[in-house]
Amino acid sequence: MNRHIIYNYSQALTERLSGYSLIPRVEDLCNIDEIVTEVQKNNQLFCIWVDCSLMSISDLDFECVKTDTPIILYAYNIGDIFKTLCKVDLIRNHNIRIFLSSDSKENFHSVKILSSLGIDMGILLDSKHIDDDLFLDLASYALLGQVPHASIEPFDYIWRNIMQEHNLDIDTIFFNNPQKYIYINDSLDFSFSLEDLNKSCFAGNLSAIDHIDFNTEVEQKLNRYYSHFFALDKCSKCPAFKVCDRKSIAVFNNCQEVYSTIYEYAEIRSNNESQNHNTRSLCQL
Amino acid sequence: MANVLLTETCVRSCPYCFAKQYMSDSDVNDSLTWDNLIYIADFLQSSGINHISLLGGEPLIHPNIAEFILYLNKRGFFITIFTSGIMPDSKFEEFCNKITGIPNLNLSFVCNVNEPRLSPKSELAKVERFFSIFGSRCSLSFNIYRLDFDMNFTIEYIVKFGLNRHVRLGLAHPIPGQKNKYIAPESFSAVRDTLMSTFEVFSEHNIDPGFDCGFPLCMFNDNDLGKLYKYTGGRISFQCGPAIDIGTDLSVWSCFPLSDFNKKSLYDFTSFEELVNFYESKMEEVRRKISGIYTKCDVCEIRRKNLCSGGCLAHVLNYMIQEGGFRNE
Repeated sequence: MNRHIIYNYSQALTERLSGYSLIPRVEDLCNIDEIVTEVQKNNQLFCIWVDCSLMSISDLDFECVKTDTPIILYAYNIGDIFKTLCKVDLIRNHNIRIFLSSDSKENFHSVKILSSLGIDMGILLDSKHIDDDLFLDLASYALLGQVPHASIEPFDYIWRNIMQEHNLDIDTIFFNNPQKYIYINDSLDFSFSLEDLNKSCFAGNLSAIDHIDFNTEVEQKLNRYYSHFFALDKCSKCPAFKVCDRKSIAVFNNCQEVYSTIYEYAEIRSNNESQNHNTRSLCQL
Repeated sequence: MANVLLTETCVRSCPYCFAKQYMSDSDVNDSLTWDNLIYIADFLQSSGINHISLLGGEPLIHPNIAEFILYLNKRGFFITIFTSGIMPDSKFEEFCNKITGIPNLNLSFVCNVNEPRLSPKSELAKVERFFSIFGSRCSLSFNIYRLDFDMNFTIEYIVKFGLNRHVRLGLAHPIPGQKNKYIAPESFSAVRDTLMSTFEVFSEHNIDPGFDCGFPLCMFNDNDLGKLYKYTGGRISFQCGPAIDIGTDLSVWSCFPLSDFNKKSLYDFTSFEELVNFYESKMEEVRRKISGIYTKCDVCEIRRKNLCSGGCLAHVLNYMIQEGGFRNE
């Protein structure tokens, strides 16, 4: 199986998942080094997902982390900016990307601040409504900033893939792509998304995963894709469908303009990079 | 080096203030945002500039002052803050604690002081408190706006608080078309007399004077120039060029006295060099019409050799606004 398994970390479950590529989810940064050691005994460790969605970066203890394993950290906000700035050198030394919620306007500025200081960042598309201008301003900074800074997701993913022929799936950045990730519970039942897992909506059991027809999922996606053209809805004529894939239709006031602009930024960035501009190698999903 | 305004309000009301006009036109709530700070830092860094000056209004009353300093320091900037040293009591201790870890080399203060005999006691107490904590990071700045000025108090401050042995001197210049106190060019010779005698005393205390822009070379005689060379360690200039101020809304102008002269936006430029070149060319256009603050500037060899700019351009523009032709003989 070439998918990564995402699960709430426990030593017992880790022992039952021998031989897989794993993404353990934890809720704090402490004990990460022990978890890395434990998982790597019998598995490939893809990255660690630290979900501190209710905590501020300033309140997190980065000193307890020593590992070079990629860490994806979800935090609520930057918190006390001064305290966070004092931790910048420490965070920069880790292979870490921090995602902040798009719920708060301040988080867009915080992402810029930390990115400009060399910390790989991301903005979650977790809000029911995101301000178009804020999002585009961040995209402009992420893709066309005049000074090198750390990458910002999902914009970095978009420009890295914009020249590919297929549509992009920006949900990949948020561990929400059945082609790459599956979620399992303690009983080894698996789902294609965290949402499904939380609703106990399972696609099967890990023991039978080799017999699961993942093409059904692909087929559903294709049907969803073609349905826009049959329905002639606004996505069918959207020039940025390749980027959005109808995922953010209700999030922005004018999703077409938002994603078309980002598409344009990504192409400019891509062209710039192809003209031998310096690039920085990063921890990427 | 660029001067970045953090706030557009000040805790003092100096009669000579050359930022007065700019401040009165701006909103009292205007202060630099994180977004604009990042843009400025990017702009300067992409232009190869790693030194930034923060000013106001009073920069130390910006709500994020400590965070801005730390941020710029993390980005590798050397920071100079132009301040009165006057901070609200409630913020002072917190500010002290937050910036103690930043090396003196990376953060320094230029404290603009007025004569104690002309300052309120409450201000003086706050200024002295600032010096007692940050003395080793501080050098003094003094603006000359009246003929009976006395700078001996600066020596007392330097000795008492261990300040850097350098005093920046500025001549108060007019805001073209506005009213503020300044020294008129015909009175420069009187200023010269007090300066030279003060510099003698400075010299005895190993204190170097430094001239801000706008001093015309001819206000000193050859004997003075020789002494000035010695007093300043040869670092003396009689130029008037763009200082480049950046407002809280990213508007840019040449320097405060010229804040209404060809004001632009930082977005109009792609590099700091381009910005400086723009204002240099604009200033040169004016100087082609009136070469300096004196009529004799038109035929001055020193001016022609560009050893002197012919005084502050604000005087020149002021003459133009007041129906020129009346230049000082």
